[in-house]
Amino acid sequence: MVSSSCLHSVLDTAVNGIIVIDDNGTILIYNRACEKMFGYKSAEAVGKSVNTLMPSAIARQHDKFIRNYLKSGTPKVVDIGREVVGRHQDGTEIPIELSVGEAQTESGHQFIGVLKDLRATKEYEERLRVLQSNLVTMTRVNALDEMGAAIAHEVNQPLTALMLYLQTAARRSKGADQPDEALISLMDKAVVEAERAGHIIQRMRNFVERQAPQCIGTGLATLIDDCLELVRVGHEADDVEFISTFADYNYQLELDSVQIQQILVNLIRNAGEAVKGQPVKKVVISVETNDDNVFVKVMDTGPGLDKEAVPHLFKAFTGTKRRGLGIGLAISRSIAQNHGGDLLVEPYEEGKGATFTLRLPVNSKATS
Amino acid sequence: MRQSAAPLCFVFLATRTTLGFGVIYIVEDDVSVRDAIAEMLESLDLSCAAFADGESFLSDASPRMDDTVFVDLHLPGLKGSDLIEKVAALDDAPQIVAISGQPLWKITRDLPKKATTPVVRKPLREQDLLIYLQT
Repeated sequence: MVSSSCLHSVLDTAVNGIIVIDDNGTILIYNRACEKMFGYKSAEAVGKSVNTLMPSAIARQHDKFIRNYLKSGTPKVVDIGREVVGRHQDGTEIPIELSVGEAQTESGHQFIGVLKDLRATKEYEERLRVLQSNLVTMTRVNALDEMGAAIAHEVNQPLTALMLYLQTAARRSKGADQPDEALISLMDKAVVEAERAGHIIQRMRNFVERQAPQCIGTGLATLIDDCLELVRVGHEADDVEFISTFADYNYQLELDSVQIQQILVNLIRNAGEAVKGQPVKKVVISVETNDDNVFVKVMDTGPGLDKEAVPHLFKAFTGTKRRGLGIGLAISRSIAQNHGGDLLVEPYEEGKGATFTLRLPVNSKATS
Repeated sequence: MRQSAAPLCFVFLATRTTLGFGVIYIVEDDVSVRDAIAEMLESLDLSCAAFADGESFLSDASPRMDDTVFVDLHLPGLKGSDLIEKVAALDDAPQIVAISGQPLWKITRDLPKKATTPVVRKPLREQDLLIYLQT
């Protein structure tokens, strides 16, 4: 037979909180671990209602819980255990893992609760979660930063030389005794294209350097047409039909045209890849607007997106294509979000291809 | 295409006295960029001298106050930033403009804090350089 003093010593040695209550919820035993957990001393707690140790919302219902159980015999926590919230003397709420047992004694029905303080665990989990998400962000930014910088630097040199040669050549041809107008026009066009390449590098760099997008009023329809033009170049032989149904050439939007063009070209190009080998090879770009947003939709007649693939679509380095790092959609979404918009994929529908929707906010300055 | 600095030095020495402008120096390790800048300046009848590294520039050139030195920050051997400090410390120091194709964090890391050297980032257009040559 175990003596009472031995029992108390066991209770006080336990790492977990141990509480025994009667069927009225009055605390009979309250061990040392509980003192640490709730702040109340054993002498203060014993004799009080166990509701004292709960946030008021739960405390109000606890008596009912006990009555219900005693009446119905259907356990909600007894022998099951659950995560509950306790309240410290100072009002702080404490996450607790609670397991409850019961005993029939000479003095009536008693409940035994074993309580594990989850605060440390929760904090640890939270910290781990934050660390992990930081890590993902860091990895992505670092990869982008390094890759972007490497590409930018490698391409910068020839591009700088190219630009200066072209500008010099253009000037020399203009200054010739008998200027060749056709040649001058070609040189000027070449300079514009070299400038565009330079802009792409600058935007990429700005993106890495986290500068705000350079928003200017842009004709959305023209921008879409330009994107289609860019994509068609690579698909001449594939007889893919690229169509834009948006023809409001007066519709202006405040956006960074180079960045948005990058997103759309990426989406349209993906769509063009998806319809390869399909009976109908069609990519349709449509635009819907409401008061706050513009939705640019890129629809294809491809096989649609695998349900399993959808949650991973916008994560970096998870692409299924053989070429590329799978960061296209991740970057695209970041760009869209930098604009206060988003990039979404429509839910899969049987017999339909994939639809990506680029949402962009309608700025106050935008006009229709 | 000019592979070495010597012929260009010769060009400027021959033309220096005939033009009212100062001399434009280019210190750039990328041969194409160096050549393209030189071609561009020559087409504008500006006298220039190009160098592939800071060491040859310091030993062969004698820049003066009216001159301009374009320095690539990313140079082999003597670093662009060190070259800028040395040139800026000269009596009668010329105007110095840094050029860089590096990401911003590298530029801010490499460029001496106290220096007020303007930085032109690559890719660049001729007007990005010529703006520093207006008299």
